[in-house]
Amino acid sequence: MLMKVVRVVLTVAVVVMLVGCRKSSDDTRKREIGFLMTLDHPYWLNMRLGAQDEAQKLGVEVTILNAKEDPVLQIEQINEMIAKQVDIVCLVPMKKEPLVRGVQMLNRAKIPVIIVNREVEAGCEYICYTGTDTYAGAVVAAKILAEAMGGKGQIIEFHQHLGTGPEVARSQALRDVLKDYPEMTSVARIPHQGERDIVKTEMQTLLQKFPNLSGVYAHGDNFAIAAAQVCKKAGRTDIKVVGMGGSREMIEAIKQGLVTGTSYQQPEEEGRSAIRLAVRYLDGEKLEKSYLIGCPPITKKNADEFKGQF
Amino acid sequence: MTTDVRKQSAGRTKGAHSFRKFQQASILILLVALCVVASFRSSTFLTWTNIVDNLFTNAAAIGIVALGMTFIMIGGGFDLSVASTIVVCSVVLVMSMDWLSPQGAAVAIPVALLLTVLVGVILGAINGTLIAYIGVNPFVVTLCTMLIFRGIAQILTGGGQTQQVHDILLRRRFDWFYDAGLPLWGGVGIPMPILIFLVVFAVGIYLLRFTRFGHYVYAIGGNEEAAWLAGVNTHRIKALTYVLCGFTCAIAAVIFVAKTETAGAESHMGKELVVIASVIVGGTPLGGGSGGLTATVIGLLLLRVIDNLLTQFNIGPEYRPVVTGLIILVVVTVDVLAKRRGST
Repeated sequence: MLMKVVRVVLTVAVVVMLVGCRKSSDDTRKREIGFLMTLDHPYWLNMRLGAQDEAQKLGVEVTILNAKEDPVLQIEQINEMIAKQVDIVCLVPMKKEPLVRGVQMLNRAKIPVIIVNREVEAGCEYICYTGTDTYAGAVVAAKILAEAMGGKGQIIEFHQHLGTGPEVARSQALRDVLKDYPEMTSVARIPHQGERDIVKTEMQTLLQKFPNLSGVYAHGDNFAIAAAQVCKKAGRTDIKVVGMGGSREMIEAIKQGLVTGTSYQQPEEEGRSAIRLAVRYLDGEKLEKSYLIGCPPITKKNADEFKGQF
Repeated sequence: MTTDVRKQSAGRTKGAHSFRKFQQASILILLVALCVVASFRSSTFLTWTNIVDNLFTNAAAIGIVALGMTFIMIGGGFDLSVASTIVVCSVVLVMSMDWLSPQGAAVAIPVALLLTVLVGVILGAINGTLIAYIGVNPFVVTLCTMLIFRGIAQILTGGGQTQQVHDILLRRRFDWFYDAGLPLWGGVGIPMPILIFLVVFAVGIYLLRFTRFGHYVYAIGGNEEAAWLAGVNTHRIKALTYVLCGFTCAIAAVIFVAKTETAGAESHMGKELVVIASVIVGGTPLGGGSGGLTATVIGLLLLRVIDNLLTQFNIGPEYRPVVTGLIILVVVTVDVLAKRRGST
């Protein structure tokens, strides 16, 4: 008896669904942009705000999805965007190798792609890249550090998740800058794992291990601040610390003299730029291959001129 | 509490049986109702691309693991280490294929597949041995192996570097496991992951319903001691459910590698919870003793449809975990309340 009722209900539902599907065919809808990113840091939240705001201004719909640094999840989200039939996708590739497959899927579905903030490996097609010039920004930070240290001494590096785009660019930037300063040596490379806590614990150990330490190069403001706090507590205010990003907290810390400097990134502008380019492309404009957003240096001298976007 | 649940499900009267049916039917109705609403509200929901190429294809790999997990959970067990097992398997798959690539695809692919399955089975056997033969709590064992397996993957990949087969031709060959499909009419087809899922599902149904092994799994979940006294080698059967789950993780790893052409130690974070949630939402209780594979598939589809709808209706990412969590909570709570009424 019960199963009969269930069967009837299900049959009716399926029929209704099939009818309903036919009825709700295309009415004139807004242009839709899929924005595939991650949201595990204030930086991304700011990029998202910029994207949402710009989309509202330009009268387009934007769907934002959080891939939580997982490339497999991001590829699934790409499938979702294809199924949703969005007009264009702005993609922050979580990792550069696996996302080639993701972008290829979009190519096959004839959905144009704009790559934002991080890079993707060769083998797939996209309209253009827009984002912070991560490498140039890291070079700016490394130079601030080298000049503050007078071009000599031991430094340690707190690096990002190994193999991610920014990690590769920022590590390379430091190596390249150090070539010009032969008296500076990098004595340790430690993953910050996205946690200030870990940086603090590691920093305490490192201060014991390298008593002659004179510089810290951190892939990110949060970690520069954490390292500088430990140095201050240990009375080692002579150690120069640089980060990269330019968060409000960081700018405040630079003004107070806790941290030496940083390079200024503009995530909000990245989000806006991506949406603007997407709309320009959909309007039929021919775009260039790359739209880079620069990162000026911030030190105690000019810290008052910057507000910080995140 | 555990003994209570076991006693309840051990007494599988006709009433309890039809109640189970009712519960599964209610979730199925919820699933269909959601789909009906969605197809009215969104013009892109009820399309082949969305339902088959997106929803089912993305659910397939994780669904295969959920099938393995169902065996464990019917037997009253639990496994938190599945995501880590998938990660180790995919890393082993990519690295061994890369290592064997000079031998040609005809050697590299089958041998790498064999190695991957072997690794999945061994990792499952480690869990199974500790839990079934030594008697350590499954939650504790798999919590530890979850960390250990993830760590092993990080060590193998030199601290988490993304692994890739360098031979591009071989890499493309392997994509067959994701890109191929059974062509139907009008240029559409059933993608490979779904076909693989269907095969595993059929084998699973056979094992659970038509073999002595399947009956023993239910018996152990219902009342382990009674099963032991009745002469069932409960240790071996329990251990085998974990081995089976490790095997399904290896198959899922094959699909994931074909999907991304890479393997990374940081992937699949938190997937174990999706797997366990599908089994529970489907109606297999935490104490075991009842439930089934079809139920798990319905549970998984419900979760995936919810997720798909959140995207279709452009719900902000910060609301998604809340909505998903609430729906699971409601389903399980209704289940508990209905069961309480049913048992008195």
